[in-house]
Amino acid sequence: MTITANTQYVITANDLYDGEVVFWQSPDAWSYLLSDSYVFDDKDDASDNLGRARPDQVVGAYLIDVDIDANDQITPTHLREAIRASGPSNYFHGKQSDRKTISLADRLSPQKGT
Amino acid sequence: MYQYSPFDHDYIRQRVRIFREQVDRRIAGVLTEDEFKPLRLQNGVYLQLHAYMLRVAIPYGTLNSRQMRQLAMIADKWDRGYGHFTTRQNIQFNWTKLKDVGDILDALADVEMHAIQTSGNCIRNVTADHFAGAAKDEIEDPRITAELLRQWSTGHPEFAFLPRKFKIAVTGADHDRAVTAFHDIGIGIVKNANGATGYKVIIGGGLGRTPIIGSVLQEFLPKADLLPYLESVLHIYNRYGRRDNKYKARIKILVQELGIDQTRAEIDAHFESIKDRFQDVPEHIMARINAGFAPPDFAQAAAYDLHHDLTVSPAFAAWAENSVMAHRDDRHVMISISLKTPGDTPGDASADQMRVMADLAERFAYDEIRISHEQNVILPHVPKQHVAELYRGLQAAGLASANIGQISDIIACPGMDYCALATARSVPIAQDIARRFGDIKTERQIGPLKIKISGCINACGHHHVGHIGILGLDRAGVENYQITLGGDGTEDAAIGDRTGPGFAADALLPAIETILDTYVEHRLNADEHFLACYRRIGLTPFKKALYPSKQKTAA
Repeated sequence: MTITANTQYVITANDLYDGEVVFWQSPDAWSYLLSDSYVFDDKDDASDNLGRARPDQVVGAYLIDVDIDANDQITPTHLREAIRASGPSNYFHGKQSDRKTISLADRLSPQKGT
Repeated sequence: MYQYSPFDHDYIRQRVRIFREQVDRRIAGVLTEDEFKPLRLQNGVYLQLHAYMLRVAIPYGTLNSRQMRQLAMIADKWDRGYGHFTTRQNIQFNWTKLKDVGDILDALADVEMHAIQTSGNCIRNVTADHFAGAAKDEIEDPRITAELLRQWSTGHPEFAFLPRKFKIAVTGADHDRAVTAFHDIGIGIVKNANGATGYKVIIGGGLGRTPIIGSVLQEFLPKADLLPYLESVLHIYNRYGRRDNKYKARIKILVQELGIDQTRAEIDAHFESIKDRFQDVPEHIMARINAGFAPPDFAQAAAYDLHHDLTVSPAFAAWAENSVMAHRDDRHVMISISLKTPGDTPGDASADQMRVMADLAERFAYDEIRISHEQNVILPHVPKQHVAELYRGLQAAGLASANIGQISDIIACPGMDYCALATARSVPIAQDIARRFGDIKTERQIGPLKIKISGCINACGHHHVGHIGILGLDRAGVENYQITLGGDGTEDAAIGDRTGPGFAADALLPAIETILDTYVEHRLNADEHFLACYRRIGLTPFKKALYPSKQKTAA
C-alpha cells in the first residue's frame, strides 16, 4: 500500500489539424508525448493556462489528473487518459507505435509502480 | 442498385466544396470550434479520443464491389488499413486527419457515397433489413421505401435542426431483422385484409439511457400517404420535442409524455392539414427508384444441389450451417460473412478483406453486398453452385468463421478505446468472450445466442436487446460491467432485465460462464435456445447463480 501523492495536473487537448492528442508544455507549445508535458501542482495555475489555450491550434483543452511515480513517469489516474496517451487496446496503433511511447499494455500491467 | 441522378452528383460535390471551405475557415481561425462543430458533424466528422473519426453513410446497408474497393482504398490511403462497420450499417474510419477529410469525401463522391447526415440532430441514414430483396419471408424490398425516405430527408430544410437525432428503419419481412421497435420511427411493410400493401408505423422506440419499445402509430398507412405522414410526425416532434434537456429530447420522451393517443391525434391533425398540398411522388422518380432495386435475373443460375459439396468438407459444412440461409429463389442462398473471428475486433475489416469481399461479390454474387446492423457482411444473392468456391475465397482471407448467430458473433461498439463518450472498453471484453467461448464445440453446445456490448449508456452496442447484454460503466475510475438478460430486438421486442450489481472486468468472464451453465442446466433440451429458456424460467435462477451470497455482490 503506497501513500497517494497529491493530485497533479496536465493540460491536454487534440490538435486541430490532425486530431492527435497533445499535451501542454509551455505557452503555445504542445507535445504529442505525455512525458513532455508540464505538470502543475496547483489546479488554479493549471486552469489559468488552460484558459489561454489557442483555439486555432487545439480543440477541447481540459485538465487531467496525473500521478508521478517513483521513476518520475507521468501516469494518468484515469484509464481513459492512459488510452489517449498511448493508444487503443485492440491494435498497436496510435502513440504507442507512432511515437514509441509506453504501450497501453505496460501502463495497465499490474507490476507497474510497485 | 440505385444509381445517383445528375442532381445527386451535383449535390454531393457541392457539399464537399462547401465543407472544404468550412475546414479552411476553421484552420484560418475565422470559425471557432463552437461554430465549426455542427458543420463538421453534419458531414460525419467527429473528434474522438485519438483522432478525427469519419462516419460514412451506407444507405440501407447496400454496397457494390466498386464502392467496397473505394472504402478499402480510403482505409489504406488515409487511415490505418481498416474500417469499422457499425450497428447502423455505416462504416467509420478511426484515424482520419481534418486536412484529409475533403479528399476522402471527394473519393466517396466518386463512387456515389457520402457522409452527410451521419451525425447531428437530423434524420440519419435510413437502415433496412440486410436480407432485403432476398429473404423468403419478404412482402416487398424495404430499400425502395428507404431510398424514397433518403431522398426526402437529405437536406430537408425543416428537419436540419431537430431537437435531437432521428433514426428510421424499414423492414419488408415478417421477421424483423431491422430492430424497428427500437427506432424513432420503425416502418414495416404489411398487407391489409384487402391484399393492399402499406406500412405499419411504429414510433418512439429507442435504446440509450431510456430504453423504450416503440408504440404502434398506424397499423396500416396507405403507401401514398407515407411522405406527408412522416412529414407530420417530424413536424410535431420539431414543434413539441424538448430542447431544454438533451437527455429528454428524443421523440420517445415526447411520446411518453403525450401518450400514444394524443401523439397520434396531433400528427393526424397536421397530416389532414397538409396532405392535399402534398403532391404524390412523381411517377418517373418512383420508377427510377424501383428500377434501382430490380432483382438480378435469378433464372440465369442453374438448379444445383449443395448437399454433395457439404459432405466433402466438414469445415465447409460447419460454416454453411450458420452462414448460409435459404433464399427466396431456390437456386440461390443468402450468405453472411462473419466479421467476428474470435480475437478480432467486432465489425472491423481490413482493406485486404474488403477487396476480397468485393471480388467475391463481383464474381459470384451479382455485385451486391450488404452490411448488417450486427456488424457482419452479407452477400444476399449467391447461386448455390458458387457457394463452395466462395467459401474457399473467404477462408483464404480469414473471413470464414462459422459463428454467425452464435456466442462469439458479438455486437460491440468501439468503446473507450476510441469513443469520446464511452465510460468503459467494449472491444477487449468482446475479444475475451469470443476467445473463451468461441470454439465450435462450445458454440454448438450453447446454440444461437446474441451478446451485445456497449461501452456507455448511449447503447450503440444495443446491449438492451442482447440475449445477454453488457453495459460498461465507470465506477470511481474503474471499468465495471452490468449484465442484462432476455433482450430481443425482433418482432418479439423485449428490453433485457438487469441481473444486479455489475462486475469488474476480471469477474465478467466467470459471470458469463455462470450464465451459460445456468442456461444449460435449466433448458428443456438443446432445442430450447437461450432466449426461449430465459423467457420460461425468468431472471431468478440466473440471479441466484450470479450472486450466491451477499458479500460476493459488492461491486
